Amino acid sequence: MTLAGLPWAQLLGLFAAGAAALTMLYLLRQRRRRLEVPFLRLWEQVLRQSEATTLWQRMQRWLSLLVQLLILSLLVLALGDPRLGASPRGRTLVLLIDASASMQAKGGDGRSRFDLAVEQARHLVRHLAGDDTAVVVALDSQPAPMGGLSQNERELLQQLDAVRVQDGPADLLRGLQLAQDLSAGRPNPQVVLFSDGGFDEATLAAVPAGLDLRFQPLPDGAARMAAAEGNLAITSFAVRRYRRNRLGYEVLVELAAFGPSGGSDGPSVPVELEIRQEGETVDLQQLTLRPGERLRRLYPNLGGSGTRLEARLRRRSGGDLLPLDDTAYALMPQRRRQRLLLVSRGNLFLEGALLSISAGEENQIEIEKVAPAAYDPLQAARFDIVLFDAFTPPEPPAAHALYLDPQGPGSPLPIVETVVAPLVTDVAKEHPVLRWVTLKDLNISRASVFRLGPNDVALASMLRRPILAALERQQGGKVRRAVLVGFDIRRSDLPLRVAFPLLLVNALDWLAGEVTDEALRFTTGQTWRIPLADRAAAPTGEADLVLPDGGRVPVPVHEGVALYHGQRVGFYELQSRGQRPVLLSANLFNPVESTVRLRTELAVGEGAARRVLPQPEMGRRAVRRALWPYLLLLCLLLLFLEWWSYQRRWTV
Amino acid sequence: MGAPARDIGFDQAFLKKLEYLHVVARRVFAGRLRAERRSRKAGTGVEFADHRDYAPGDDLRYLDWSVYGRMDRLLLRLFEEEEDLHIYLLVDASASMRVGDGGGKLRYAAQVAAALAYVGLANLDRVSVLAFGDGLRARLPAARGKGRIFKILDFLAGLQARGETRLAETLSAFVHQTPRRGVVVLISDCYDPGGYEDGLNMLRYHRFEPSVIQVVDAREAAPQLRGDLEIVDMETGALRQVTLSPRLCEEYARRHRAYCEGLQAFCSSRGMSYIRADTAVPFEDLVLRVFRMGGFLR
Repeated sequence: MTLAGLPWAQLLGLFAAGAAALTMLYLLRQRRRRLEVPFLRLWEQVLRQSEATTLWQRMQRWLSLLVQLLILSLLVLALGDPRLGASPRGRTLVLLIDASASMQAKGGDGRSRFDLAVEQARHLVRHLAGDDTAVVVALDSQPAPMGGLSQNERELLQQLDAVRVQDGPADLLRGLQLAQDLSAGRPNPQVVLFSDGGFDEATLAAVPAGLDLRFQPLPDGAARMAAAEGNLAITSFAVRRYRRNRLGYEVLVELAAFGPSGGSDGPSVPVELEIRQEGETVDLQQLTLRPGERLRRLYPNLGGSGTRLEARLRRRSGGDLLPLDDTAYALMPQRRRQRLLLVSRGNLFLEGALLSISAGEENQIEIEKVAPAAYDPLQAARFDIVLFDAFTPPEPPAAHALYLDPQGPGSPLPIVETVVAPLVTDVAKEHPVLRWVTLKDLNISRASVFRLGPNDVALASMLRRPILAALERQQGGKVRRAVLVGFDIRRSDLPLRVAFPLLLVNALDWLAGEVTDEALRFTTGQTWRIPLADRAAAPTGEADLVLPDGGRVPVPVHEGVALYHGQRVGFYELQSRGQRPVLLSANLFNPVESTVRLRTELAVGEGAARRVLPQPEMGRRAVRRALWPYLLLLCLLLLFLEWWSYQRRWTV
Repeated sequence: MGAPARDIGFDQAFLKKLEYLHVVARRVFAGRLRAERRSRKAGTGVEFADHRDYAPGDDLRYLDWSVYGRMDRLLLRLFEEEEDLHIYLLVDASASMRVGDGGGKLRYAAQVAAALAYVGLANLDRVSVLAFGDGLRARLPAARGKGRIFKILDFLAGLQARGETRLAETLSAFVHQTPRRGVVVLISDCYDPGGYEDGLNMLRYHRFEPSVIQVVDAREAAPQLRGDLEIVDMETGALRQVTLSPRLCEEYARRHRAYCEGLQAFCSSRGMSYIRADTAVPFEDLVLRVFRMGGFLR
């Protein structure tokens, strides 16, 4: 037996003090209560007979004291929290509670699958054997234990209460890995999965063998609610502005109907699809979806000044099994007017491309052209972007700049060599400047090779020799960006390619600090990289993220990008000191979760190792290892006996 | 009625009860009118009783001349004289009468005494109330007529339980201070360490007609006491340490019962009326019981 509470020395001290106090109270108790009687003579006649029993009565009083001391010793021992040694039969249980989006599916009684799973887990916790140890793990996209391994039923129930169902998928494999780590080196490890079994086959096949994994299916009530009508979902929702008319935009919505068992059974479902912009309805359509069908709807030429868009899908009669994926969120890309100074001796290719970009009812680019001889840095400082075509000023302008074929010492990046007929071998495809741009088989007669600084980006290189580069510099407390094209476009076939206007548009967008549409659209259950509005102005530190429910969380910022593991759908706002707030949207868009599949049996592994997971066993309520409840129970029993004997006048 | 009388429970409701008892008493003794108590002494009555020899100084009007004519003897005619009955209510106000709730046995004894006094007054008897405890303590002179009841009530309300019960000394003083014989009602718990026998015999020897109402409280008759106690005699202050158990209490109750039965046997064997009055029984019920027994207030 070991003590988990107070040590022996303190216990003995407590007992000594308590025993002294008790004995003193008993001695005080010997002082008799005085009582008046009307006729003492009668009492004396009686008392003469009882003298013989006085000794026995004194002993009875000491018996009472002994009982009190015994109670005291048991109480003091309980403070020491004595525990029996662990038995070899004790299990180490990791309770994986599926907190994925599909667990939000609700039945007719208003209880969700998650509620049912937690209830089952509570039942298991209440029936753990005395020598079982357990821990609760929330199984979402970022599985985490809700506490430490414990034998304490109340603590485990608190861990269960702390689990929150999320709007994202569950990472089963990571959860199992975590469970293995938690139970490593402990006796009889066992993992119990409380879930609807809504995992894809590939995940289930990848479940490692040799893990004692048990599956607790949801009760029959949940099965009934799954069998009702299946689930409708918005599986994609995107909005983009037109390049030529940035006031207009188009919206793409993809809908899906999942049958009752995830299949294509069942009747067609009449639905309503509503598009809202800043809470106002923009469009409402009546549609019909067949189970298993995916339906895409494109809304071209939409207009409006709002930023937040919502798509809502409704059954025309009845509710949906999983309301979470019936609403999707999207943000309109921000638009800004740009002023461009073109410094060129004349370049028809370039001017033609700029003309195409700035054409339209609402030109976002105002272009002003000057000859290199008339270039004035002060004038350039009044523009957002300066485009140098085959001209390199001695000092970089106080604005963002696009250099075409920079030369000489004025080049922002030193030119280390010149290569003839270079081949583009490496392209930074993920960079916004090269979005949708293909440089394959580009013919260039001659190109300059730049020497990059530590934070400069090589957009295109020939055998690691950059000929297209992007850089950011601090200048006068502001960030100045520049894109350098190391060749004369007129001596290449780039102007003849679709890539040229795209490259030009992307470069202008990037220089203006505009983020791409995709950069601010996220799906739940992933770690989001959220670019700040002015990345170079806040390279590292912390920012505040306003959640859809209005709460705020601090998020770390590294190199102008904030990191956050998002698990809720809706609109977010990233706020950072000295920066424009950045809006972003998050959606589920996960067909596995939207299927809301409900399995009553879960088979994992593949091939010969495929096995059906057994259900967990309830513990046999054995003697718990913590002895204090029994000691207190014994105390109560003794107190009752003492009280009873006192009332019967045996121990007085 | 003054405030003290109300304190002991002599209020309007109590007076109504007394009137009720009086009415009931009249029914019980229907046909008997006032002054029916007779004494055999020459008096102004109308019913012939006896003769006696003439002695010088006797009233010549009562000489029986026809007997003198026949027998040549001077005999005096005696008549049954109609005289008032004297009722003496002796109320025990010793310390032991404190036992019980709300004034204890003393209150109960006072109520019984008041009821008996009222009925007596209503019958035009002469009622005198005396309190004792540490000897004869106070005395209310004999009075007649219902109007005097308030004085008696005030007297009873003013009683305080204190002192020792010494029946022999008390009753001895009583008989020597009381020339007119009559009915004596002793209302007491009779807890006299010196014994009750001498006192009661004293009454008998001096031609009083004693009756005993022993007031007993359930708490002293069958105590429910437990544990270590130091018991003190209320009257003498004597101490005794004791550890009480249920068995001991049962033994005490048995002895108490035997004591009361001993008193009852003593009274019965000597022609005295005896009634045990449990304070749990309403006093009016007790008074009616007294009437039915017939020993009192004839």
